[in-house]
Amino acid sequence: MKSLIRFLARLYPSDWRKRYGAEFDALLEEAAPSAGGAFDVLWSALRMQMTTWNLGGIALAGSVAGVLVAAAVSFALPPHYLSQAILMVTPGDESVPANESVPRVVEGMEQNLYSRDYLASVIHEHNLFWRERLRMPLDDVIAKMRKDISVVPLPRASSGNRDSVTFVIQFDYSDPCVAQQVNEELTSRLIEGGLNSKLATHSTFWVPEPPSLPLKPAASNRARITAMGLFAGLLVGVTFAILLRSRRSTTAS
Amino acid sequence: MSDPTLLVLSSLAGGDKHGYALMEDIEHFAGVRLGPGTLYGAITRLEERGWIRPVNSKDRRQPYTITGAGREHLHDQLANLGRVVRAGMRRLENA
Repeated sequence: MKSLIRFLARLYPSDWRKRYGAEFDALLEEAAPSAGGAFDVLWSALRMQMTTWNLGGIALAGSVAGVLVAAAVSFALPPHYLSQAILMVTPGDESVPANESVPRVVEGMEQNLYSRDYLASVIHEHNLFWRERLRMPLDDVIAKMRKDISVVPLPRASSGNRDSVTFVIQFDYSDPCVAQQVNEELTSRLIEGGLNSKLATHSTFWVPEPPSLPLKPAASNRARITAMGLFAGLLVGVTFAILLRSRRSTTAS
Repeated sequence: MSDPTLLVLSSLAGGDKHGYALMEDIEHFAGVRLGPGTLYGAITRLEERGWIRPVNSKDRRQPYTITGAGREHLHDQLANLGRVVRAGMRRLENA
């Protein structure tokens, strides 16, 4: 413990060590070492360091600390897997222009997909989000699941057929097999919702790419989390520096 | 009273002392055990403000003495504290 405290004493600013180092070391040799004493030396050394830094230094230190904490958090987060399917819809009713019928068909499909009762049944059937269900009400878990589902229509030109619409259906989950199974259900549900739509009576639904089994974890939001950490650290650093400056000026006056 | 600077000044008002002697004396009269970092943080601030100064010594353990300005400051602070203590005691007795 004594050697740890001696090491911590070296964290003081060098100017301070030049003036007080020898007598401080003499005190540390005489005083009984303890964990509380070690923490006291560490905390005092950090405070002393911060009083010698300028605003930029403190803001920089805050940013670095924010990035490190955020990066550690992002690495500690469990991996997630993204299953993806492609669905093509070709409206059958030629009396209604495609640019009018397709959005209404899509609306019907999505309403069917995102309904509370349906998602609740999927959650229970596949035992999804069991950790979250222990600490959150079911409605919050359903809201979370809605965020993990993505149905994105591709631009018309990329579908090859001007009258058809292509969708990318994705489901994000911590288990790759479950992600695929649930995405199969979601894709079927979307088609079912489309078939029930009056406008889609003669529409054709085709799945050129069935839900995939993701082999690798999806790219995590590490960059975003780290950027948020940088911003938060910068904010805390600048706030702290301003408080410190005002306290110094108050003390000086 | 837990302000380390007041504790150090109060201790030095009774005579010159080095760091360890200050820690022991403060624990004896105030019942507060200052950590080494807290003690030297207080010593640094007090010396910067001219309220204490080091005494010539050949020992590594540097003794400090209270200056005239330090005595004056301590007197003012203790007088303020005394007023608070007396007012508090009076109110407790009348409650």
